[in-house]
Amino acid sequence: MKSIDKLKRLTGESVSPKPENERPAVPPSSEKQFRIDDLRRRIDGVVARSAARARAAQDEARARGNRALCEVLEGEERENRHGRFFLAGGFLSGASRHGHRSILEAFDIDMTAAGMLANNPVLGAYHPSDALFLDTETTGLSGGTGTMAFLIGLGWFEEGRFHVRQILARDFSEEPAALACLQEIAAQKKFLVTFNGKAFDVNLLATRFILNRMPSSLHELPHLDLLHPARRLLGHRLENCRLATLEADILGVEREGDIPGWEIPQRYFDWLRRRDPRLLADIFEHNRLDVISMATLTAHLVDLLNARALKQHAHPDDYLAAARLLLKKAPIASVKKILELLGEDACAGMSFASKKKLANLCKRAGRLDEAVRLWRQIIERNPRDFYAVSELAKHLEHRARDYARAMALIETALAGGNLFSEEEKDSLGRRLKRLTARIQS
Amino acid sequence: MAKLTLDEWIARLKKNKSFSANAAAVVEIPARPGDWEDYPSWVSPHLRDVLVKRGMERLYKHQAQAVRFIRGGRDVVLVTPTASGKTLCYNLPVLQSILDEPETRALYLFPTKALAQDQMHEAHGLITDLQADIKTFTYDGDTPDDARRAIRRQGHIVVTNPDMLHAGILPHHTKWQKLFVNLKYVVIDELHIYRGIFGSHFANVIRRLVRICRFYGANPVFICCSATVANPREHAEKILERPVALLDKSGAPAAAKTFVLYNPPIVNRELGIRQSAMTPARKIASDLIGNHIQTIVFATSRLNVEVLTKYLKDKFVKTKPLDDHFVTGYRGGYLPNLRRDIESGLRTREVMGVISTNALELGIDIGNLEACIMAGYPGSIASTWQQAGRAGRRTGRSLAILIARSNPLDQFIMENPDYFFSLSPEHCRINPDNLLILLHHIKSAAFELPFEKGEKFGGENLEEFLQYLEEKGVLHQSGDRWHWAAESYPADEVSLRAINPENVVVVDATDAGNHKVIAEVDWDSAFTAVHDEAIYMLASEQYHVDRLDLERKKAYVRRVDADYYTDAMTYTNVRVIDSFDHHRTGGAIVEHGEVQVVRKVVGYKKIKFYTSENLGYGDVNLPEKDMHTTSYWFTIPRDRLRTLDFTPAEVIDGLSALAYTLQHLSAMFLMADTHDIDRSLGDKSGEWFVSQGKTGRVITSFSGGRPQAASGPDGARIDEFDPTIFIFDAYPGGIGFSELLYHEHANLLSAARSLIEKCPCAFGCPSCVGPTLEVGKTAKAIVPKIIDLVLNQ
Repeated sequence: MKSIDKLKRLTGESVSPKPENERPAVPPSSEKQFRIDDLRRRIDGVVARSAARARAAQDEARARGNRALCEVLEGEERENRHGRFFLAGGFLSGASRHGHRSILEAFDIDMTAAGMLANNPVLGAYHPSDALFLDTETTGLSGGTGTMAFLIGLGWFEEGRFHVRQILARDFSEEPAALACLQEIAAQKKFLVTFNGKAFDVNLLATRFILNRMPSSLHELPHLDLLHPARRLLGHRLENCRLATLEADILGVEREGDIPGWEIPQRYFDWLRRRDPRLLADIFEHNRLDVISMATLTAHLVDLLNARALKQHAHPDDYLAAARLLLKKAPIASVKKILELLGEDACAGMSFASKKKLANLCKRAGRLDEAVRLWRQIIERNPRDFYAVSELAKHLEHRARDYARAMALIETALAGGNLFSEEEKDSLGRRLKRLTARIQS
Repeated sequence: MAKLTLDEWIARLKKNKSFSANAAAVVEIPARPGDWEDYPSWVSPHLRDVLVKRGMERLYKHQAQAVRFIRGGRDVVLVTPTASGKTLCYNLPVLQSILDEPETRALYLFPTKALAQDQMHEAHGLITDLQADIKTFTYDGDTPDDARRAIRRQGHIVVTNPDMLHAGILPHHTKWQKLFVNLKYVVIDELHIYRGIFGSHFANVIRRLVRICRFYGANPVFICCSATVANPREHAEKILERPVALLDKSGAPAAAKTFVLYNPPIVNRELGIRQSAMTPARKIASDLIGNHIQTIVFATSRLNVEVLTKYLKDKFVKTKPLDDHFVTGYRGGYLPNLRRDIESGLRTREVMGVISTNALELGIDIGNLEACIMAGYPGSIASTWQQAGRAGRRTGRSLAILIARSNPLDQFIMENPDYFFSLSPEHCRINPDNLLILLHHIKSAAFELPFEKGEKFGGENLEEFLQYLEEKGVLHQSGDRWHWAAESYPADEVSLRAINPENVVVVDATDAGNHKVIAEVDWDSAFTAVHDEAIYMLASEQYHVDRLDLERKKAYVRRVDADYYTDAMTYTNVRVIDSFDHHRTGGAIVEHGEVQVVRKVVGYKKIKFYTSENLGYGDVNLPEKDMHTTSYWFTIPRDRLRTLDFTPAEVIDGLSALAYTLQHLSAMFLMADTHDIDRSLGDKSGEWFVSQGKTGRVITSFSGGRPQAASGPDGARIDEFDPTIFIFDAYPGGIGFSELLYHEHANLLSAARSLIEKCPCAFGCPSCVGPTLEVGKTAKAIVPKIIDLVLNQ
């Protein structure tokens, strides 16, 4: 019995039962033997012919699928020295809108701010047209060497338009040609923009280059991975930080009939078997929108850093987060614009926690008046807030030198039922003692 | 009372008359002088200085030869006893090679995380002394994510386990490009562990490793180390699929050891019942521990570990009420932290006695224990020497006591001490082409690199497998290559340690608001260990299983204080699927081939602590388990059995008794673990099988997919079928034992006859045909007659 039939039995699959007369009871006569041999030859011939026919049918289905692909999608078959692949492409004019924005707004992003988002100041020396936006569609999400990027979506700014190119490996065998095409385009660009590309897309592509024994400089390019700054600036008010969520809640992009991400690998496997281009059309559209959204998301994040985002699309807490990011990487002066924006009106509706963060920022940026105003606002609502009380008392003691008011502040806080920890009580008590001494001296 | 030293203790023991009467052998293994050689000239003076400073003035002869071979690029397998400096055999050439060529990389494989940690520290110590920029890391499930990147790029020596190589490294080999491109050495320690199912998986992981190395143009030298087994070279060559040089002459000096074989006294000559091995184990252990002689006790099952730990704790709690760690259990299933605590307690001698399963058999550093007690033959000669070696790795004298149980294998050892002390130990057997195992690894390999037409992987026709997987939709052929075309991650679908990777988690629900996971049980053991109403024992605490939730893979238990434990009863039914070969001997038809085995846990016995009294039975309702495996069997036509002058019921008892003897002897013939094979009595169609019920032996008919009792013990209808004894591989797909047994059929039955004839019991006992309570009083008389029927015309 063939091993594979044994295997099927082990895995509980049905196997056609053994033919009853597997071995003839008596050795066949020579004439019989001849007839059997002849029959065998004929059967072999039929089998070989039908195998050849099956192969031919497969080739034909493949060719038919490839032709149909060109009819359904705007693209064509290309060839390079690694073989053939399919390249779709188009562009958006500057005036086209994508959610709240026009593509035009993404053309001249401030590269210094982009460098801060990427945590890589090198970007500051580049131009927005040096960016290569990249997003892949893959055969799985598990990572590892067995996952392939079958569709590589690319985007860049050129002559007032946003260009999108989508490289499709119509079969595994087309992967080297597809990767070579990617490499060729990437060689003309200076940095990458992705969404979660550091952990996923670029990693995966690096693996595919190695597996195909092809050199690649992709992972050496400076890389702005939008996931991390987006989480930092906007994560506080989002359910999760997926690109789709950002589109819906921040960028105002609505997708209709979008294919869910988890369906994509199976669609591609189905394409490999059925060669029906409609299976892929949705994936191309999904990928194209992802690439475009990355461009407008970049613009939005840069605007937050530069305090230029439209009021109705930005939340005061977004700016707060932006200011905190700036303070880590840039001179204090850089947060000035944001703090100005977060004036009295803007922060009226802020939570206590946000107000505290803002007060801290103001203090660090030397905008003491604003900090004092915020501390007072907090104390007005809660005279026993440890942070605000001690900050304001510190200010009164060291800057305003108004010891009496500082003392009054602390005494009010300590009086009656408070929820201070022992440590906090100690700290306030020490300050009170010092103030008493200062007044008496 | 003054405490005795080990020497004094042994001297006293030898004078003890009742002990001597039961000692089957007391063997003094003398100290052995060493045999040395100078360091080879290519060892850098600096490295040599470091080694000399550590007390290694010269190399042992076997070390010198090993490093010469390895340096010369030959694959080797080293077989020398514990504490003979095996580690240096690979550390020396590896470190020298890194000193010569800093890009060099080495991969060390150990079967457990704990051993990997141990060895990493050892290599690290040498490197620290060398003050060289050589980085060595362990890489396993505990390695933090942020450290992994650095290890992949910078680690010169990466120490890991086969499971991690299988699921974490090979499927991500592109991240390890630097290591694979520069890989010069692969070390496989404890090679003998890779046998049976684990070994069959492991051989396939090595096939994948070699395939990936080839992709990066690397051709590393393989260095294998093994405990003493009968076929080290054959085993290594089967795993590596290439010629390997064998080094098995130790040049290391060895310390003296007193080795005692102890056979507990017969307490009931009629029934042939001996005192349980647990009783002397408990007494001897408590006396040794009481004298502050640090002792390890190996028990043969998890249950025995717990029972023995409870007994010893009970004893010492009275005298040392404060120190809970003075005596402790140790086994797989304890959580890692607890195990690390116990290991370090042993090194610092805070733990004076430890009761363990074979989990402590391997080279985990637990310091130098003085005495080792084995409560029951560990099942193989190799294991026995490994366990005995845990005492006295460094001290001058040590003691090892093997206490026999009442089963044929243990008793055979007691009757034939020479066999034990002179015979070569077991063969390691694997079947890397077990179809299920091979299939899993072909999937994993395809995930790692597409297969190309004409490529070879394993001993089966690869292209057939690839086409099969393409039909299943996980591979896709494009041109001459087969690509992985599924979303899943195949390495996660299989565990190397068993066919079934599932685990059942044991949840302590004593405190309703605070459920705690206290242990894990593998899927197959779960059916017998944590069925509803079972008493599960952990760290000598008893837990009552309230509910086994198979769907969620959880067993909910509650802490109780019961005076009994439970022992599960199972039935086994075998049906022949395909006969590969057959012949006739005398009155029987002997065959081997593929079978379907159905097993079901049907109930349990409650057994009282200390008295072993049977307190009652309970039913268990669990689904049956179904597996395909390979078996050897023989059928005796019922007409022939009718010629015997016994009742049908007695004949059935006799056949069960013969199956019992044959299973145990098979283990010895195969030199395998007794757990690797199993037995059943029934007929070839699987319509009838014999099982042990609550009240005696019953023949059960298996019709309509449900077993039903066909007859009581009195009216066993032997005339309904031609009885067949099955001895089968206990793993799905089989691991190649059956064919060997098929060829040994006549020898096996002759040995069974001789064992039974030599046994001093009156009517049969656990040492020959099984306990009379189970096989009846006539078994001993009838079995030789059945054997005659089978062997003679």
